[in-house]
Formats: sequence, structure tokens, C-alpha cells
Amino acid sequence: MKIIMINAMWCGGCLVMHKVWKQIEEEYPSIEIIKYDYDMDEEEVQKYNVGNLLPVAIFYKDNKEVARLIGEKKKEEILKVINEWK
Amino acid sequence: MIYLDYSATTPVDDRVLDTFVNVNKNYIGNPNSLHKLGVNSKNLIDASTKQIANILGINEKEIIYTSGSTEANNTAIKGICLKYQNRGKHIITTNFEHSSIYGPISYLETLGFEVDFVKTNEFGLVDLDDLKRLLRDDTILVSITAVNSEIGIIEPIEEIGKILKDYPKCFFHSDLTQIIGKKKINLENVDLASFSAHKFYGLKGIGVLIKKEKININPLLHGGKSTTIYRSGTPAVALIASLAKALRLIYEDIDNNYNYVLSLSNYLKVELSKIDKVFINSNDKCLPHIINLSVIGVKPETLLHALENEEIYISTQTACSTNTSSSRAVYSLTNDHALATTSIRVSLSHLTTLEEVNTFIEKIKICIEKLRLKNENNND
Repeated sequence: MKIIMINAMWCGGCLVMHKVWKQIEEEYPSIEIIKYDYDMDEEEVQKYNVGNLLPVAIFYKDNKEVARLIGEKKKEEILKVINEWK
Repeated sequence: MIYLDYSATTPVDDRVLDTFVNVNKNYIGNPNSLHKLGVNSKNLIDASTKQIANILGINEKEIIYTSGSTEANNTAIKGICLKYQNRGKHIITTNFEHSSIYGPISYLETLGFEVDFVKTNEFGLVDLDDLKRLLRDDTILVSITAVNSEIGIIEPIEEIGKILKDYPKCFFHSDLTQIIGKKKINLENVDLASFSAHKFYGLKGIGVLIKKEKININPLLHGGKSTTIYRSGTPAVALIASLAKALRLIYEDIDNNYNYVLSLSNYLKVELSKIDKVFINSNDKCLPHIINLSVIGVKPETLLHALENEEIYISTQTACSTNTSSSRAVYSLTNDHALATTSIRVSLSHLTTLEEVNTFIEKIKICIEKLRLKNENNND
């Protein structure tokens, strides 16, 4: 499984989620998590059709998008998606 | 034209502008030069600094001039954390901060700092018990705004400062941008505080970081002594003098201005809440200058432009949103997605007249009605 994470430095919601994502990274070392900055990585971010709200987590299985979580989410909600598709 | 976006910026006071122009014309020396033109400029800066310190009840050595609040917030947060990182790497903040707080904290997180968000109650006020629970031996910084810029929540800065006195390794920073010039504030228990002149009828491009004498910070800009060693660069004499003037003028009548805005704000809140499906998100504990409201069924940006067509200027807030679609602060306060996605901010001043407020009420009612009707027709 691969997860594309899109954050921004100015975004409080992204900052709130960092701790949760750090835990997930430690608990699921086999998942590849690629992080992009909304402002700094404009070219990459454009590929993912990101809407109005950050952060955005896009979940891929076999190179196909299977789920997308937008905004602040509880760890359980993220784990639910991971466990469904990993 | 009716300007109701005073929390974004204020029009410069003519007397402040006169000071700026006169100082630029008459004080041409670099304050760091040793000749008399330089000494004249330095003396003017010293007099301005003394005036600012007296008004705010602080020591003049505690004032660092910056380009505005964003630089002051960055200097405070990065400066203190990088200076004292050997003591710990834990930071506490709230869900109601400006992006210029989240920015430097996010940056520090990339350097290994850890961040916790303190809980707030139904009024958006910091839960002091939760703050005590979060404080650790390695907590190096608590950064909590005095007034949230979107909703106007006034945080209990003095009480927070008192609690933090029991944690000598932890520093307390507060963003004062929305409170300076509107309400008096006691800075006794604050270690670092930021504000910007253009929020109180001064000029854009000048702000202050207050740093208590006993503490040190790493500067963002290195390059030699300016007015202090903490911010290099040729001192902006005219901007500094204009900031002192703006602060003096706004403090002359600060209590009366506050009471006037309070009565205007109370009246406006009552009238706005009479409109169908309009909800006031700013509560009685908020600064009266800021009224955040949600207009259900109308996109904030659309309403902003409809009012703009009537030459009325308000704002939408965009924290965590790449456009104006949602307010994280409103969601944090209300836990209501509908309110968060339909909120606008109206901000008042002592310059706002009752006539302007009445015209605004009349026009916003018409705009809301038209936009809702348009939405209904589009849905048919």
C-alpha cells in the first residue's frame, strides 16, 4: 500500500494530524508514505486533483486509488481504511 | 463605501502618516551612523521605543522591531525553541492560532519538535486543566493567541501566564495582533508577544516582538546590531516613529472606543441573528470588534462579492482551506460542518458608524435573499 499525503506549513489541521501520521508510520513500516507540501510541491500536487481542504491522504493499492481522506481525521478512521485495503 | 474588515487591516490615521512623511524627510541619517544626523535618528528611535514601552507597561529594552506580526511570531517561536532546544522539544498551542503561528511550529516539527494542542471549552477558551495536564518537563514553549482573528475569542492570557510561572523552563508566547489598540492587556506574565501597527491605524511593514529581558532567542536575521542584536537590518526610523504615534493615539481613548464598539457590536449581533438561518458564531466572551457569522445556504465568497458590489467590504476566513470553502476555527468551536463552510467575518472599529451598520444590515438581508433564491432556482 502507498499513501500520498498533502500538507501545508500554514495549515493547523495538518499540524494536528502530524502526530497521528507519525504513529501510523511507526506502526505500519511496510506502508510507503509519500509527503508533498501543497505550496512547495505544486507540480506534484496538481496531479492529485486536491480540493479545498487540507490535509489530504490518498490511499493506493496496486497503483490504483482506493480511498481518500480529507481534513482532520481520527486515527481510528485512518486505520479503518488501512486495514480494509492493506 | 462601508469598510467592515478592520481586523484584516485598518486605514492609516492621517496624523500617523504625517509623522511617517515628516520623519522620512527630516531624519535622513542611518541611526547606526556616528555623525549627528545618525544620532538624531537614533534619538528619535529611542524616544519612540520609550513611548511604546510606557504605554504597554514594559521595559524599553524588551522591544524588537520587525516587519510585522508574521515576522515577530516567527522570530519568537523559532528563536526561543532553537535557543533552548537542549531543555526540551515540546510545544503546546491551540486550534485558534493564525497561520504565522502554525507555520514556524510546523517547521520546528520537521526538526524533531513535538506539538500538542490544548483543549478548549464551548466558548473556545483554553481548558486550563488540560493545559496543566499537557505541560511536561520538556515543554519549552506555549504559544496562545490573545484574540483569535476569525471569531474574536479572548483567551485568558493572564491566567495562562500565571500557571506557566510554575514551569520555569517553559516560555509563554502570545500573538497580540488582534488585541493591541482595542483592549488593554497585562503583559506581566508573558515572555514573548507579537503585534503589528497596521491593525491599529498605523502603517503596514512595521511590528514589534516583545521579548522579556531575562530570556534569549536565536535571531532569524543575522548581520550585526540594529536596534537590538535580535533583528539585524537598518532600523526603519520613520516606521518606528509612526508605530509609536499610532499606539499613542489609539491608547488615548481605548476604553471609550471599546465601549462604543461593544454597543455597536451587540446591536449588530441582535439584528443579524434575526435573519433566517443566520447564526452568530462569536459569543459574549469574544472581542466585540469581531463578529463571525454563518449564513446557511450561501457560499461565503459569493456573499462577500455580492456585498462588494454594494461597496461593503467584509472577509471570509480560510485557515486550512486552499480557498474560502471552510473555516477550521469555526469548526473547532462549533463542531458543525454547515456553520464552518458558510462563515464570514465582519469586523468593526470605533470609526464605524451606526448608519453604516444599519446600511450593512439592510444590504446583507437583500444579498442573502437574492443568493438563496438564485440557489433555489439553480436547484430546480
